[in-house]
Amino acid sequence: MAPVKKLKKKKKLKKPKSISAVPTEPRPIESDWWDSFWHKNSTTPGLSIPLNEEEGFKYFFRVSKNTFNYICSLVREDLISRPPSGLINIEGRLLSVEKQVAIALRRLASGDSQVSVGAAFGVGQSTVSQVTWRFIEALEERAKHHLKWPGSSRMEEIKLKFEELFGLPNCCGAIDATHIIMTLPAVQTSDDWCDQENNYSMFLQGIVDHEMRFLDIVTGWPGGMTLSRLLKCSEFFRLCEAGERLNGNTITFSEGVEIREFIVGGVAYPLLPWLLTPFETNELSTTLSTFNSIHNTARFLASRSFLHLKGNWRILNKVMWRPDRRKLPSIILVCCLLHNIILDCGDQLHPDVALSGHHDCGYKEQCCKQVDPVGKNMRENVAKYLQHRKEEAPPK
Amino acid sequence: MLCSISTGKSGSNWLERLRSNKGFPSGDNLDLGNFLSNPNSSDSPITNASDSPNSNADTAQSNDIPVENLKPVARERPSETGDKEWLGIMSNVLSELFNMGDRSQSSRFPAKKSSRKQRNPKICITQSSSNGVNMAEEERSSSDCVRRGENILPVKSTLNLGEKRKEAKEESDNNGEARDVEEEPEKGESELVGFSKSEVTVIDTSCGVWKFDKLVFRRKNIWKVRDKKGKSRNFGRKRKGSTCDGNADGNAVCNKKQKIASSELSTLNDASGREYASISTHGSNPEDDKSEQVCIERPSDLNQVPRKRLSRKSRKRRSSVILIKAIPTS
Repeated sequence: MAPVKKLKKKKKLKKPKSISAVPTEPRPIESDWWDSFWHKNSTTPGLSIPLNEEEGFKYFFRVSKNTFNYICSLVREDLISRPPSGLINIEGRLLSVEKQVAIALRRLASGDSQVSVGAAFGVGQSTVSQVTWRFIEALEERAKHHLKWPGSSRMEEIKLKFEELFGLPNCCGAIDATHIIMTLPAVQTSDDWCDQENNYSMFLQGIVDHEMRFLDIVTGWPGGMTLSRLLKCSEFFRLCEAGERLNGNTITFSEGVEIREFIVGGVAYPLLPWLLTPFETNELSTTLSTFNSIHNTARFLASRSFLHLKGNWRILNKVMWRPDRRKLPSIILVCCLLHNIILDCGDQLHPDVALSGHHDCGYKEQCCKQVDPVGKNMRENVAKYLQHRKEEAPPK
Repeated sequence: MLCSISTGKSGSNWLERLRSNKGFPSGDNLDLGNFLSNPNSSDSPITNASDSPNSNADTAQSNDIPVENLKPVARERPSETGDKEWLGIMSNVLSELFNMGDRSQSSRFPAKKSSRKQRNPKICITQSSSNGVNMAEEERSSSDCVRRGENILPVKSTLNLGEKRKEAKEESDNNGEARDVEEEPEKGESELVGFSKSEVTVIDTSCGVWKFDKLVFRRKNIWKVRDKKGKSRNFGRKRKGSTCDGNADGNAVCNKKQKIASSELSTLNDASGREYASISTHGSNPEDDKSEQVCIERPSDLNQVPRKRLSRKSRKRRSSVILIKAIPTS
């Protein structure tokens, strides 16, 4: 027994030596990743890459260099390569945080395979997989402040903007949902993810402000649910029903008509006191058609947000091949966070990058018949107000 | 090789010794037919089971008479049952002899055994014809179908009818149902029988903790959401049901249900999940639920095995039935 103990002691002694040996031979951190990447990929055939390097940067990573640096600062602590376990590239050099962020952003932005993204950066597929997931985990923890329900002062700004832009009083946002399509193995357990269009999909519901910033998202629920069911599964619904959200000041008009805070949504949502849907009758009066027209314009903000989201982060628009269903919600969330970061940092959402058409191509809009009497009354009040305002406004 | 030689020698010596001990002739030309026709004429009475069969067996084998030759002789006898008993006892003795190492008898033993299993096909015919409804089923599964046809198939057919009726009812319920199903107040877990279960990871930014797991139960357009922590009683019961082998009573239930299920495998295999869902939901009676869950959970695991088991068991049972049938005729 005694000799064994001695051996163990010897091993323990050896370990610090190996660790201390690493700093003596530091591998250079790859910091000139952009130059080599630009040189390698700026002339990729088949891609309409801008000649300008700044624009080229945005083309590949959807963000400006400033925003990119901000993102790097958010996740640096989690991604920084520390020897000896730090990620290295093919040449044996440690991957810089910038290059890791670039790899992850490129993977999310292009939706290309891990192999082709890796080839663009000179790293292997497994590195792309590892780096992307590390980035997602880091950002979903460290960028939470970019996606939160606004405080009262911010909400007042949003409501003012909605009124300015669309004439809707006390409107706090627009709600919509989209399917993230994936392939799953043809086993029984996959059936729960089958939606009405026979795709396997996961829902993303978002409420956006006037700038198409996500204020609230819910994801992870199977795409086969109805939007009404999805809404009711969300905490937002519970808070609103409990009077803990959309409970700000009501607007009272001269006729004693009160309009509380509300959001706008499509016909797939139930008509609720705090969620207004368009009128569905065939013969619409002027009042109702005015309301519908304004309502549709405001509601389209949510659709446009999804068009931008899926256009910027094409991984969401491509059919994901057997994703880990526990990880997919995180990927979706991080894309929403990046969407908000772009807006918060002042980068403009490039219209060319957004998808054309509908964000949920191939899905018919379902109709929810649920009508809350108070919601119905509220909608009529808003319609009356809009009509009244329209009549009062001087003709242009 | 050494073994076979030695056994051959010892066998013949042993036979001769046995014959001489019991007072039987040891010659090659034994009149077996005569001997069988007058069993009581031998020295040992029938009641002495240990002695008399031995003697009969020895005489039968030492003559190298094919076993098949015994059959016509036996049929000609007026006391048919008595002869059968003799044959049965003889076969037992033969098997004992064979085990002792007589190589020459090894080829006869299986034939003897098979004749015991197949004996009196007339009884089979009368039984199967009396149950004309299940003829088609019987044709599928050769001779051992008799018991199944008698006892189990009617049960199965009634079950099927019930299931179909209830499935149809459920279909109509679902068709009539609005797509947007309202959240019902949370009831007992028994309500979730027939729902498929999925574990989902949800991110909801309105929650304090954004990321959490939920259990989603789905039956077509009906969705129910439960917290993952509260492990449903229903799920536990399913497991309990599937491991009912340990319990003697449970085993009986399982076996019975397996039989029913195994005859329906072709339908269940197509869409096992859906079948399971639809069948197990129809039971308004909780006890029915239990038994049906057991029934339906088993076949998916036992697609291959139970058929063999069933046939083997039914064969055994069939032999006992024939013995019972044989008693009144004597």
